[in-house]
Amino acid sequence: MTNSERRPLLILENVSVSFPVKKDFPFQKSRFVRAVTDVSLEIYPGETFGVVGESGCGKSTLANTTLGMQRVNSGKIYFDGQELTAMTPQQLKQARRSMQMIFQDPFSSLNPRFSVFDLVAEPLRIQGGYTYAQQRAEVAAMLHEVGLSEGDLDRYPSDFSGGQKQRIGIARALILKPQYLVCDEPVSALDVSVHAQILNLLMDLQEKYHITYLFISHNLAVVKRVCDRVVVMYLGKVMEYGSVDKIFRNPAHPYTQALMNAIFDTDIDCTRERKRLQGEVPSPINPPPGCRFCGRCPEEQPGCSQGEPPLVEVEADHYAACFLHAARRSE
Amino acid sequence: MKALDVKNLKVIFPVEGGVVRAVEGIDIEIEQGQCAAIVGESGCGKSVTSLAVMKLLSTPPAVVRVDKLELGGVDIRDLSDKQMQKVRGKDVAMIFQDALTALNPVMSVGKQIDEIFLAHGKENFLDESGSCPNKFQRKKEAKRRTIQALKLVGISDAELRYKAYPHQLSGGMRQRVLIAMAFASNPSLIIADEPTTALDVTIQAQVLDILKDLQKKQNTSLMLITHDLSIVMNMADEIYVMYCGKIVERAKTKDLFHKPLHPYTHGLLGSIARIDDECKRFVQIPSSLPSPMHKPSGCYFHPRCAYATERCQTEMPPLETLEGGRCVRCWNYKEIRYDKQ
Repeated sequence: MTNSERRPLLILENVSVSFPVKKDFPFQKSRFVRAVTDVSLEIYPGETFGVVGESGCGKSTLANTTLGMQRVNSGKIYFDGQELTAMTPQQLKQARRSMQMIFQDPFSSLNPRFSVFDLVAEPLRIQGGYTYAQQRAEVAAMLHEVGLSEGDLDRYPSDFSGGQKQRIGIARALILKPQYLVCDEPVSALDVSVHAQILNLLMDLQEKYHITYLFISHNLAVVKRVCDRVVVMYLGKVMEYGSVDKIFRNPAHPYTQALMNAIFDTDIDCTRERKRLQGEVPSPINPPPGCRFCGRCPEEQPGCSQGEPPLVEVEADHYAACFLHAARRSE
Repeated sequence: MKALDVKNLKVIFPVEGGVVRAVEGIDIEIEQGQCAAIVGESGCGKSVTSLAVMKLLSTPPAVVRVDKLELGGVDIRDLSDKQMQKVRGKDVAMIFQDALTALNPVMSVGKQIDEIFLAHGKENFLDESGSCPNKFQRKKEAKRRTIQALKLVGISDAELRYKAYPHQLSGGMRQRVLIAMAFASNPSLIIADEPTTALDVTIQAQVLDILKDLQKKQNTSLMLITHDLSIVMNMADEIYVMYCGKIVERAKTKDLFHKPLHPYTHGLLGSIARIDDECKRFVQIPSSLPSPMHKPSGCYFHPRCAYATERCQTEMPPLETLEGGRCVRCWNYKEIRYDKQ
């Protein structure tokens, strides 16, 4: 089934989010951190949608807005046909039953004073309608699903290793059988040897329950294997967007190319010259004028700092925001 | 000459109801100018090893036993804390994982680097005639050297950054300050404990480039501690794979990546997500590291090993030395044939 035939689960239309910055002195002009600027996306049911970028590029803010945890300044979000941005808190609580989140750091996202049962059963209690015995049974079944045992019900987070803690986090997110799950860097706090276990588990669960994932990561190698479609963000703007296969085969934006160069591959005989990205991400309070990637871009041209490049179609289901491609299309 | 020579290092922590054998008799040799990496999962004892080499473990509670501990040919086993102070920073320096906690938050980064020059006494500042400048001249000279050190690690506006406090710098910048600090007094050995785990991939690549560059330029030896084999490939000359406090494989980087001998090394290599892989599934090592208080009998890896035999369950294999200085601790390494990844 192609994307045009399916109805998207989640639609973002020109979403922008900015946060006010504390003033250094009174009467100072208000300044804002533009965390997310004019992002439009569609996420289809059952797919894994990747969000890639360096820290501070607005990945997590974008994920939070899709859960209704962060108000948008402008733009609209539709979840399963309903407008998320226009819901009352009561309606939001109802809608959140079908959307959940896994956090990055399992060491700080689990309350150390809650037993595993309390942690995993909390969403059931919040949504209501379960007796204690039902909760026990549901939690035990879920723990089994994520590779823990019933004997772990009354133990505390401190008894578990990092990978096991992340499994508890996954169980808690899945206990309400959500349609949509945000995975905010689910493995970056864990050992490399545990990455594989958690990622395989996530893929198995997706197959079983047909969950849609929003997968945030800065590791492109993981994104390539886990995701179906991906968006590359830089300083709150979409740089490149489309199917994973197409973007990885033919990265159109210089930033995506640079990110791919930064991956450490394990092919010892590979002697290709690496292009390193110079400098660091500029402050999102005063992003550079024109294209946001100006100043770090290896293919910068004089015109780049005037006007923002539009998102243009490079090929079917593959878009990039770069003047290099905007020019090529107009020719 | 060997920059570091450790023989049979053991570290034991007494805990309630038993002991934790964190490190169980490991040997490490690093030639001058070489980079050796210690790779393993968290809890395998790699950080404890580095702390023991620096003599930074407080004893008690820790019990450290070592047959030989030489830094650049000098025995440091019996040095007192005071004597060790003179060695640390000058002959051996350390780069810590989390730059924000390693730096003093209420002191400008420049002043913190100055301290390294000033702490190692007047003999650092003698001029050609052998006379020692006064305190103010020494401070001025230290500042000059600090700014030079900051420039060396690629910090722009070094004069300006000299006055900056750690919270004003980005993560990559802070890690560079730590690297500048470690290289400040040109030590013969630097221990880097997970220097880039807290950083983004692009910044991680930059920081590792700087580290490697400086290491080659100053002919420093580097002991790199990490859980990520993919960053080791471009950095290390030799790799030690650690599991449960024991070394399970030691090999030149090229050999290890071409042909891992121990099943654990093979598993670690397989679990790295590669960009050119077509297969969707990730190769995984089943279950997790056993508790350090209750290590399994026989080979520590046998409960997780797909190739374990009966002998593995009862007898601990010795660390066998093969040709070319390669070592492996496995009963069956000759028989195991891994599928091509």
